[in-house]
This record gives sequence, structure tokens and C-alpha cells, in this order.
Amino acid sequence: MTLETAFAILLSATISGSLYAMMASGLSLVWGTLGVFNFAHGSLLLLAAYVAWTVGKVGGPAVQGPLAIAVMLAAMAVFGFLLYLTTVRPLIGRSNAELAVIISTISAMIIIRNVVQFAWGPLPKQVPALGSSSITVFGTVISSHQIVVILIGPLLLLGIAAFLKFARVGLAVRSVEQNPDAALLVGVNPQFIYALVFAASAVLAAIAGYLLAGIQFLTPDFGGDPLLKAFIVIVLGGLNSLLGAFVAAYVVGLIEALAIFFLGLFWAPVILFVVIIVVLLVRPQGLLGGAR
Amino acid sequence: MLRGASIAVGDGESVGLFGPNGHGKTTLLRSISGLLRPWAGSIRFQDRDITGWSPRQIVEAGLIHVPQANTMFPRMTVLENLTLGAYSPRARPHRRRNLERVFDLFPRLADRRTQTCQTLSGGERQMAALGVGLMGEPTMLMLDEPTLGLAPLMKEVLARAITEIATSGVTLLMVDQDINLLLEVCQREYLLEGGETSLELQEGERIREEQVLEMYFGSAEASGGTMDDA
Repeated sequence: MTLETAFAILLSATISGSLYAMMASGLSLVWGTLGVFNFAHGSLLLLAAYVAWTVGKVGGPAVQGPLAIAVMLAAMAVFGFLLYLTTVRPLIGRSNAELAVIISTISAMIIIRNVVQFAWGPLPKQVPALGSSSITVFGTVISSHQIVVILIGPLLLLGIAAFLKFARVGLAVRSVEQNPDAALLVGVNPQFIYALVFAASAVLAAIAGYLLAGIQFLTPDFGGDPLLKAFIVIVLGGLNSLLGAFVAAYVVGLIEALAIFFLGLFWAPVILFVVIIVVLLVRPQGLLGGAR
Repeated sequence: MLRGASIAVGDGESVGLFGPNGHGKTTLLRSISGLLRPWAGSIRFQDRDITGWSPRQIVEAGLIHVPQANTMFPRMTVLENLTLGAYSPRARPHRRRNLERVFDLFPRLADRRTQTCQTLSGGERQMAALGVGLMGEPTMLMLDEPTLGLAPLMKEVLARAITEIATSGVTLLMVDQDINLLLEVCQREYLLEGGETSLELQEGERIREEQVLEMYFGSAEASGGTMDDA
């Protein structure tokens, strides 16, 4: 293998890994804090990308870029909050909440997907990439959009980690996860924390959705694959570990890139699942998941 | 299950609550702090009826509950735990002062401030839990078995600290099974038995050892009576 090929594989792994980290972080945050899986997480990516596309389309070239992104992020934060109010809040606290939320969020996923198909139609759409310049390194062309993707993944993770470690509300998020009763006794309102975490996870999904839409065509099926990838990533990384999810995202990206190069595109999922099964046989708690 | 439990704690007073396991001591504290909602009865704090208030409102009023044998937030450092203790708007402005006060009271916590709570010894965890309570700027502090499972020496350290807290003017309601500890720290004691307050000890009154033994193990007659109730 030449240096150029190695670099190309690594680059592809880093781009995918960065996107997977963004997709998984919101899901991991919701699981860690509320103890439920949000199956509508992929639909949040989907919806975010369509909202961004619409804002850009309606506003014309002048509104493209920063403003479209800001409008989309605000809209998705509100939507995440509404999703929490309708699919999670009525169920949380019940003995079967974990299972009930699976059903309610799957319903939300189906509804969102169909509403998107109805509202925007089945034809593929394209969200413009961020910038049009590119650089060439070791014979591989890297677009400005790809550079943004590579940088934003780690930056978001650092931001979340710093928030959970240093912000007052970040500490409260962890307190609810670690000991809900004690959290109540220091005056934390868990309902507020849950709503906040859901809104934040929607924003993270929106960022991932927007950046993914600059790479892939946008169709109503857009959210399915990211949801699956996000699940794989947080199971592989360890369910309660944000750092684990981060590492696992790049591991998954690398496995895919290697499998695609050596065996071909269609072998990538096979290799990926084989590796995950082996890892989970050896470490059932995931790469960095510790005992609670 | 509580029925007919009635206690009163005066401003600045330290009151103990003792009784056998499973007779409602913890339930009583959890009802007062709003974790449980009573079906009937009322709870008053500083001339206000706080029955049915949320835990957050009760914390904001200055009534702080330090739960039982609790590691608080196990995967957070001592300092993070204490910071969270001052989460309420009431306590936030006094965070720095209270932190100094906690570290003065428990120098060991200062040494271990960057360690996570799950790595602390049992005694240090209790210190941390007490510290979290103090960070909440309490008018009244409710402690649930703060010396449970601790060695005599550590018990003594905590008893001294709790006495110091009480002397500083914080009203205290303390649950423990160790009657001698309560007699040492508190001015008055209640006995909670079968969900009822069945005995009140005034200051200076001493409980006979036979009475205590009877309570925990039951005389022949008493245990017969319990069976009938069941």
C-alpha cells in the first residue's frame, strides 16, 4: 500500500468517523441521562436537512449559509423539545418506560418520515456544500466541506464534555443520571434537565444532518442509515460513555474505509458487524463502558 | 407507611428520631422533603404549609434533606458534589463561603476534593453527603442515619461535626438507630414505631436499656401483639 492510499483511507475514515460521532453523541446523551433510546434520532437528522434546504431555497443565495444554519438549529431545538413532550414525558417514570419509549419514538420516526415525504416529495434534493474550495494532500482532494466535517466532530465532543464537566447545568445533567433522588434533594428539576437534553440532542442531530446533506443526496430515507450507525457506535463504545462513543465512531469509520478499499463497498457492513460481534464477545460493556 | 406520626421541631433545636428498621423513619423524612407525597396530614415549615410542595421548592425554602447511606453522585468528584449542593438559587450566592465552612469542618474532604465519591471510605462519603447538605445553605437540616455502618472512631468525628453544625444555629432533625448518639447530639428525641410516634424524650430524660431491648427484640407479650396486627 502506498502512502497515498493509506492517506486516502485514513481521510475517508476520519470524515465518516466525525459524522458518526456527531450522530451518536445526541443519542448517547439521551440514553445516559434519561435511560431511554430515541428511535426518532435519525428522523431528526432528516428533518433538519430538509429545513435547511427549505430555508436556503426560500431565502435565496443571500440566506444560504450562516442564517439558514441558525434558523435550522433553532427550529430543531424547539422540535426536540416538542418531541420530548409528546413521546417521552408522558411515559417517563412508569415501570415500563424504556419499552414504551421505544414504541413512541418509533411511531414518531414513521410519522416524521412520512410527513417529510408528503411535504417535500420523494425526489432527491441537494443541500449545497459549505464552500467550494479544496486542497490536495498526498494526491487526495479534500473539499472545504470535508474539512469542516473533520473539525466539527471533535469540537462538538469537546464542547459537550466541557459543558458536562464545568457548567452548573452540566453538573445537574450528570446528577440526574447518577442519582435522581439526590438530584431532587439539591434542588435540580429533572423534567427541565430531560427537556434540555432532548433539545440539545436534536441540535446535535441537526448539525450532523446538515453536514451529511452536503455530502449525500437528500431523500425521505435519509435518516435510517445514520440511526443504525449511531446505535452501532454507542453500543460498541459503551452505552454510558461519551468518550467511548467518540472513539467507537472513528473505529467504525476506519473499519468501513478499510473494508471498502480491500474488499469492496458491499462487504463493509459484513466486516463491521463481525468486528462488533467479536468486540462485544470479549467486552460486553463496550470499548470504554465501565460497570455503573 | 406512616399513620399518626407527629413531630415538632423548634427553631434552632436539635431533635432525634429513633426506632427499629422499617418503622417509617426514612419515609417520614422523604415525606417532609417532598420526595413522597403524603395521602393525608400536613407538614409545616416556618409557618408555611409545605404539604405537596416539590423538593425543589422545599430546598429553596432552606429545608435540606441528607439521604441515608448515600454516596450522593458516585462518579463525580467531591468538589463537583459540593458544587451541586449549592445548585439552588438560594444557596448559589453563598457557595464560596459554604465551601470553606465544609472544608474547615472536614479537612479530609479538602484533601480528597478531586477524587470521585465512589473511591471514598464510608466515613468520608458521609462527610461528603453532610457537606452537600451544608452547601444548600440550610435553615434546617434533616440527616438520615449519618453514622450508619461506621467505626466508633469515625462515628465520634461525625457526631462532633454534627454537634458543631447544630451549635452554629442550624435546626436539626436526625434519624439514627444509635440512641446513645442521639442523646449525645440532640436535645429531644422521638421514638417512631409502626409508623407512629410512640414516645417522646424531653431534655435530660434517659431511656432505660430494657425499654430499648424490648423495642428491638420484643417481650413475649409484645411480639404476640405484633403477630395479631399482621
